[in-house]
Amino acid sequence: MPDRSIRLVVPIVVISGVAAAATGAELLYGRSATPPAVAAPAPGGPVPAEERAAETLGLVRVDYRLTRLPQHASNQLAVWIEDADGRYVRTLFATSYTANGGYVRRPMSLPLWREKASWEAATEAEVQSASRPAQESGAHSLYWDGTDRNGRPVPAGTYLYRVEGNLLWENRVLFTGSITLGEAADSSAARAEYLPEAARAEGEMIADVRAAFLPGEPLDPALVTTFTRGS
Amino acid sequence: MPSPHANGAGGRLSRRAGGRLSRGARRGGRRRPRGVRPLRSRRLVAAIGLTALPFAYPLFRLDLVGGPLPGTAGVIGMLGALALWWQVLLGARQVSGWFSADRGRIVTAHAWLGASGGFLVLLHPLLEMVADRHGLPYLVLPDFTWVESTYTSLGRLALLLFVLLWLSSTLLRAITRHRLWQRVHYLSYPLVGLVFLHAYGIGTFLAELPWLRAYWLALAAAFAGVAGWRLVSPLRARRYRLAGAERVAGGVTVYSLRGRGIRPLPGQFCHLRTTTMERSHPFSVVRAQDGELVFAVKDAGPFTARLRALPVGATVLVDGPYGTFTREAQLGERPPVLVAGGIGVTPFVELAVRRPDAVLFHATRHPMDLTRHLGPRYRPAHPGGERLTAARITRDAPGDAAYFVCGGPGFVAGMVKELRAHGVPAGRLFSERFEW
Repeated sequence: MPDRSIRLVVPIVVISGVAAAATGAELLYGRSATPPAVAAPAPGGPVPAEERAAETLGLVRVDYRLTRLPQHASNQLAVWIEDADGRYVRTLFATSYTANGGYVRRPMSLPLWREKASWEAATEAEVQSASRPAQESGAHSLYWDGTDRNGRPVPAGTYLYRVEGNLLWENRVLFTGSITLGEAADSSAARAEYLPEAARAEGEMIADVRAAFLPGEPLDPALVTTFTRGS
Repeated sequence: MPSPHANGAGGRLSRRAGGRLSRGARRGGRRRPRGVRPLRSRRLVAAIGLTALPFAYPLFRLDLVGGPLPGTAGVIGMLGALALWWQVLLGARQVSGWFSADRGRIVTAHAWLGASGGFLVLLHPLLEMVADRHGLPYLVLPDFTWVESTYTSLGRLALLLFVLLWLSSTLLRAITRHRLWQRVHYLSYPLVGLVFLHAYGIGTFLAELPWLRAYWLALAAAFAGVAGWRLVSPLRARRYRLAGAERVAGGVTVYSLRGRGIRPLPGQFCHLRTTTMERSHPFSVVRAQDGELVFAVKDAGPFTARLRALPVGATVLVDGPYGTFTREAQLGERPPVLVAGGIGVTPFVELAVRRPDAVLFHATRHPMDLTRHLGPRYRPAHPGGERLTAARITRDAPGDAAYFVCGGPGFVAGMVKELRAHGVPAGRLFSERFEW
């Protein structure tokens, strides 16, 4: 093959081919992979922040201690709220890899959260509200302002807070606790369940999961972190 | 990998070579060269295909990694890594030389794999980007915040190195200085290392298929072996002693080295270096006899200056021999017509002396003192005399002659074109050039 072909013709063909193939993939798979807008917003659309702050019952703080495991296919984490009947309310946190579609490649990533939240059908706004980079090891706190997935205040009552983490591939840990929102403060500790039980041997990724309800407390804007599509 | 190039004289890459060798046999009373095994392109393609075969299996198990697009992206990435692996293997002459001395075809295969393999290497991250619903920044933004993103970022780093390497060897090659190009080429070693780490850490099929993971590790181990072998190869070079140096016309110095262990055939070249840590340079062997190697080196750059400064008795490290350029002339029955431009005459001298039916045309300002050895078979053409044209070369040549052309890139390209226009069939025309 003459030098000119190797240095000029082949590279141009390669670049064109790569561009065409990637564009084709985007057209065929990229768009269809976009979540359909199944999670229709509640009538009237999202509630303005000022109205929301005024009407919510208070603030729920979820604390946990994270120990990042030194292995791949691990350290995925989601924290979400359900009502007393197990109906999904909203997601507080999900590691951005899974939140942004990593489940396509890793179907075993946070399956319970994805099922409960119907995450494959989540809107872009929902993804942005929950997706954050993976956290460093240490103590962490998340805050729930008492609104549902559409930003509407939830009624007083008992709610479940759940934390799901991937220990290694399909091996997971699931924490579940309940907290009551009303006029009085409340606090609780969550119980852990390893899925399967043998997953306990993979290491302690999450521990000391507890929640506290602070009635009438508004969400401090300084506690709101930014959306990421990074890791 | 850095390709052999001539620094003023010698080391060259043969362009077209026909016929096959069988070691130790004889034909037409001529002894066949031993150790000069031409690269059989079909065998190389078959070998590459065989090594790629294990990566075909995952295409039937796309469910393992989440469907057609992520699966295809993964397979394409692994095939791209394999193309890089082969490139390293072919580029390391100390390793590819075990299989064939035919550097011309090996380097051509190396360059072709590099240029076209870019399709796989460049497409892989784009498909990953689409599969994981990321934007273009995903391709370049490093993220070392957790294990998986760290391995992904190793891939990003490898991609950056590859783009540098690929562009400097293809579209930007014309404006890239040789030294820079060569240094950028050395990036291929960390690049391939990063690629192996990246894929192993990310997992995908490798995590799901233990046998594929074992194969991947075997490829990685082979790569590490090649890299290690290449690092220690200067220590294994033969140590020759500079027995003499004679300055001749045209800025050419003829060096005589004495030592043992290297027995090149006419037309082959060796890599020389003056110290272990120095970069080697390829030069054609003018003559090899009784432990003596003779090189004719034209002044061209710092290395040839260092060679000139060596005292008699100094050590010169010799690695080789390589090349199969004049194999056909040594084996074939066809009378060879040798056409040299300048210092490109070096691979022809010994051959012309050995073969009484050979004719040596030499375009040069400083004709060599070959008339006493070759008589009228040495036909220099210098400025002011009769020009060296294809018409002149073919005028008295036998109808079945085989033509061999060696010289600078412009000379070789022009002469090959001219000879073809004068009816010399491609199968009887062999060329070699100074530099890739």
